[in-house]
Amino acid sequence: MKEQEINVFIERILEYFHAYDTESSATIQAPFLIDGIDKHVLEYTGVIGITGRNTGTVMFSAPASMLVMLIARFGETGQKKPEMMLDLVGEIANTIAGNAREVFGSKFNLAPPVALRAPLRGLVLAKGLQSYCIPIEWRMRKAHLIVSLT
Amino acid sequence: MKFMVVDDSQMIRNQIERVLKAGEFDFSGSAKDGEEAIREFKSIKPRVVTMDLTMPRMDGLQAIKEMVAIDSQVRILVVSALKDMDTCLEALELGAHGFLCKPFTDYALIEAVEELISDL
Repeated sequence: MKEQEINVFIERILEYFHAYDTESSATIQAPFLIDGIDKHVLEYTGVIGITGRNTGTVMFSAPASMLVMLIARFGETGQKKPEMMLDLVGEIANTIAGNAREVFGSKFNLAPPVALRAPLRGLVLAKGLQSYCIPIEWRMRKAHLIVSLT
Repeated sequence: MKFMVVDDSQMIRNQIERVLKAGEFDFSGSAKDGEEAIREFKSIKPRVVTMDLTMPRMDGLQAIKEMVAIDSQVRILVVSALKDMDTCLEALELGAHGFLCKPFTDYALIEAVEELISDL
């Protein structure tokens, strides 16, 4: 992956958080290369499989404390259940990957989201792909976008 | 005016339902994939549908095609993260009337639906 391609995802993450919170911006720390996933996944992870122009995965991983705050911004007033957090991480991963088609085009094919709760078993990064972890901080909570693409 | 929401995310379905109910639309039902959407569509006969595209079992583009074949008068607003011109044009060619990109604000949704039905 090229630096410009990483920047596409960074811009989409920032746009996502801005859409739901115009008062406090998300910030991005420097992306870094990873060779395994275990240390970088948090409580809830949404995974989007990518085929076509690129092959690999886009994952959004976040702690429950961040997801509870985001769910409230969707207008949900009741108890924030684990099913809602799974739903949301899948939706965020899907939105960020889908928005990237503005730059990558319609051959950047997305599979429907798969949402997982830690501990993750059997989820590994594909061999031979460069995989980046992009740390995101929003209202003092940290999440990770993991981009692993050809 | 009856409306139906199609999206694989419960969170998004709830958001759209809440916003449109506040706008005094008559919420009739929802579906989490294209197959369920077609079944519900035949039973509910909504005038307005908001349609996600990336969904399991049957995707939104196929669902649009089938809905328009059942009722050519239905107004469909695509609400999707797929932010590329080809997909937007394909949805419109299949019979959708509008396209709203995720993430969206409540205001943007109301505005898009009002535009969708402005000539009814």
